Amino acid sequence: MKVCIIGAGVIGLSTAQSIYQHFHSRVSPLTIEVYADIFTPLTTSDGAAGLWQPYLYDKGNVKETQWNKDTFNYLLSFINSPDSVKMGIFLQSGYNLCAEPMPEPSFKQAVLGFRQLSKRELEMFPGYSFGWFNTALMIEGKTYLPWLMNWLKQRGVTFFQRTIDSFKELSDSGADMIINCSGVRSGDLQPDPELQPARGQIIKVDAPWLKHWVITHDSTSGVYDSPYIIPGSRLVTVGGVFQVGNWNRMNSSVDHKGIWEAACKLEPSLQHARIVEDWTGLRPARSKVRLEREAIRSGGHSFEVIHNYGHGGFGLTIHRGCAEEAARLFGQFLEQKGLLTAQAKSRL
Amino acid sequence: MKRVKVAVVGAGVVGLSTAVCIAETLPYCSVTLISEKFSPHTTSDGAAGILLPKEFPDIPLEWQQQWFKKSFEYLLAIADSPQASDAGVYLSSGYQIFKDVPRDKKPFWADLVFGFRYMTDHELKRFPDHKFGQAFTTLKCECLSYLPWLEQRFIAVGGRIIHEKVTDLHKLALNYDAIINCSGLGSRALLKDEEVYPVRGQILKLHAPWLKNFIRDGDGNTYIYPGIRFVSVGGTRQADDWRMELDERDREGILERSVRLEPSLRAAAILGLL
Repeated sequence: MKVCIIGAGVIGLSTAQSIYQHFHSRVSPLTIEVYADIFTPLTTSDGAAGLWQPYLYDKGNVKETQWNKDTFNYLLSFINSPDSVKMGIFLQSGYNLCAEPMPEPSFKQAVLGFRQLSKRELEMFPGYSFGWFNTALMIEGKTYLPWLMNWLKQRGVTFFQRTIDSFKELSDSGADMIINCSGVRSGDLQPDPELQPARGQIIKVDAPWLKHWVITHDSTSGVYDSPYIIPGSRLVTVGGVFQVGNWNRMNSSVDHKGIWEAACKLEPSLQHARIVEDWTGLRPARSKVRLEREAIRSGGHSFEVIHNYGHGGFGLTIHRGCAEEAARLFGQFLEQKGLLTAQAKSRL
Repeated sequence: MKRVKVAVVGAGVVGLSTAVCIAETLPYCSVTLISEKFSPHTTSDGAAGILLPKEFPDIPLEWQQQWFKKSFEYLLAIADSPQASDAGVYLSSGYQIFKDVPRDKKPFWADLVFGFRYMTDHELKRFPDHKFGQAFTTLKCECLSYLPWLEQRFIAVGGRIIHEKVTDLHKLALNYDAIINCSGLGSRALLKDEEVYPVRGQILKLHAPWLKNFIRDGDGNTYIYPGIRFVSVGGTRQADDWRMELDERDREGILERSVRLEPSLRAAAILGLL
């Protein structure tokens, strides 16, 4: 059984991990291969600040809310383990600020100690009259992805640096199952008008006295298009913009100026912070995550693909829940093929 | 013309802020700050600087509340300004946890800090030895930055600084109209005040930049305070102990207790000991 995964961002790597965990002892031999042209530290996942936080509202996507929660609980289970630092996981508290009262967010049950901000606290943030405080998790891609790759390599998963031009290419070379974790470029493999880049630009600064994340919400400008400040383990990530349809991977000085001015207004102490670098990334935005099986007909036969892409600005936040779901879909496929016994024995 | 000559003895956080307060508020005073030790060698410099009051049984509670409230609001204004990083003042959130439920679950300062509440069961899961906890956001004031910043303010309004150990207040009184004694532990010798006594504390400075929230055991013996450049981990509370040298057994005890509360500290490098 050969599984080929396209994409080595957090989605591709965690999907490989879930599939290995669930099936390496139930299917023998199980070959897992990861194909990508970009690896850590150059993936979209690497540039993200790494704060676990979904968008405020799930618009009825209850599955996504569950996957987000599953991911939070999964990451939280490592907090007291010796691996937490090597995985890039740590707790951080912070503020979600709104210009007017808003309904409570979808993630209020998942995080720790969720509460409304008091009037006194809001006085620290002129222009914002409402908001919440909670403790959430950080999961830093630049640390987590190398940890995942190492975990996978130790278990025999192999990696190939290549651009995959079509699903057929992998099917022809012997893949029994293809898992599409190609993020924003999935449209190159199969056109998807619902998938769009949502360009983000961030500024990394040295401001180690900042110990809380601050995310502002503006109902007129939309998610991540208003200032946010997210301290990391080394540097602070300052953003942001959310430019739908913009494929430009170059840093824009106009965006830099807008982001910096807004952030300094929000957090005056930033004025004395040392700017280290800018970074631009393309969030794989979609109306909802595409996580489903597809049978693709090619010539006389058909082959199977599991799609796992379109995680917008919440890939790290939702990755584990989606990886487990992708593994479940793979298990469904194996059962249908009669490759999985109902009562799983540990070894053949 | 500055007619009143004021001497402030001691350049820790108490002396320096007193000197600045007088110099900035009373223009008819000329203020001279006299101290043997200055930052980074004062007691204040070693403190983590978390704003978390202790209740003094023989001072009226309303006074303590007023003093803390004023301090908090004053420092909050600095934290909220472009000066925050120079002054070393910023917001800090965290937990105070208790092995046994304390008699006084809501201390006198609960409404003066931000967002004071009891920890949820979900939050307490991380601390299996502890039954109860408080979560809140307070301020941290790091004297390694704050004292030099105050010194600049003092000099800017014409304050004078003398590096000298004061041993005789009567002699000092010959040259000054008023003396403010902020000599801390030094008052024991200076005023022959036997009620002043040392409570020895030892800490470690760890490099653990992923730690953002503080954890303090309500018994006061174990605490983890993430700072600007390092995490202060402690501690000890040894009354009448004058030793300034590091105690190896104290260090081991501190590490063992703090790693139990925050296992990720195992991955931290030791930057220094105090």
